[in-house]
Amino acid sequence: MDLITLSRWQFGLTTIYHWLFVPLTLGLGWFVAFMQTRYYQTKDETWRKMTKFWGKLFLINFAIGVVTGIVQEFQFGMNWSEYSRYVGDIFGAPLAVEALLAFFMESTFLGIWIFGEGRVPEKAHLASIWLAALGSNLSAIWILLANGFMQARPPLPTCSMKPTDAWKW
Amino acid sequence: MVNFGALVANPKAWIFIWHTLADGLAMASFLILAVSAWHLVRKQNVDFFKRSFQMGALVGLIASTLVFLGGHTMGQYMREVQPMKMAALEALWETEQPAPFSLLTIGDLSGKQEVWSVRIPYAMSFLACNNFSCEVKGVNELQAQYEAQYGPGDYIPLMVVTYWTFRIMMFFGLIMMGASAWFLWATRKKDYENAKWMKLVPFGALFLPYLANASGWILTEMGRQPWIVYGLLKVQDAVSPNLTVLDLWISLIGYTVVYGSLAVAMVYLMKKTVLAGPDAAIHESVDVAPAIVGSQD
Repeated sequence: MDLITLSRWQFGLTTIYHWLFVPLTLGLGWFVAFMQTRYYQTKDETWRKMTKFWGKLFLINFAIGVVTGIVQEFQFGMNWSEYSRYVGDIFGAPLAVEALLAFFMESTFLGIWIFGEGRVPEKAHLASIWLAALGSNLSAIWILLANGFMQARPPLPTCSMKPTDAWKW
Repeated sequence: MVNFGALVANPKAWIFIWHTLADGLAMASFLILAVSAWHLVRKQNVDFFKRSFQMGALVGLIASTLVFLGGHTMGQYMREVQPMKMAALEALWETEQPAPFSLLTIGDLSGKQEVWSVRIPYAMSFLACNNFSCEVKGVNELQAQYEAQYGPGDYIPLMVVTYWTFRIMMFFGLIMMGASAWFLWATRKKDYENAKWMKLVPFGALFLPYLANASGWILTEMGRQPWIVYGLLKVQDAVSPNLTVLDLWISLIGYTVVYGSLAVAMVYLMKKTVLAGPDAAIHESVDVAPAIVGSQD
């Protein structure tokens, strides 16, 4: 196989693999947050059990999603350097916002949620799972904004190598 | 970067976000349905899993309906911004007005010529523009148009892939919508956990969303080939120039081995947690967390 085909396969396989875990994290976070809220309101032990059980599945899934996501970011520089050189100025921005705001938010509050039970006030513990769920969905939003640029950039009269020109639409 | 606001306001991206975040919820609902049904069939923690199952069914129905509506909206937008993807997912060679929806199209081995097909008249126009009369451009016309616009080259995606992934995504997505509606309807009976169909849920609900989901993304990414940035940069011009075929084989095999073992670890851990059930989860987390942070309280 030639270089392009192999590069495509590599990116395709690693992306699909990454994407097997991400959507579950996106959705399950809301469920766990809701369950914990119900426990907070009612003190019904079943809600607490539900939070713990589904929360544990959420965490396992989250861990693998993170590991495989980091590989994706490296590939833009290592395997697709011409791409990064050409549109990095545009594509890099949402990617950086994703990592610095959304992902850090998600992992920080998830850390508080995992280790903070009984150590932080109950309300703060509850808020941390909501913020973790929100963070993971914000992450997805930034990545999809980056992808949206690749999918549907209105046509240009000329293709300039300067990203600033490429972005006037 | 000139206009960050335009990047964030990109309507295509927001339809994607709608479709994708709703899909995340649908996927989580179906995992909950699958795991709950598995335990319900075995009469373990019945109250716990009935409550979970009902939540899964309700959210699953809402979320998969949202996914469906998002996808339909995306179709209309795609006709404007990525007409080639639209033509390729339909295997529509010639421009048609009104356009039919293909039930089954068989192409030759190159995937670029139609051999035989069955089509539902007008249906594609409905998918593409919500009415029964609009024109949907065909692959051949678009190819000629792109050649005039961007120079000679092959602008047609691999149609075997786009055509089938679209169908898999849509078919499984519709099953998910129907199934969650059925589950929700069924939960009005008190003893629904004893129903015969319950035995099928763990297996089906686990795999349908994964297949639908992966197909959807393969469709959208394969459908924009050869472009990496639509209309601006082709995939072949985006690859690192200093890479060798050997490099890629090494990294590809490396990823496969590492990801393979990750998958084994993940399936093992998920399975262990699921089979152990809620009582184990609640005890373990109480014991483990203080040990990790080194506190005794």
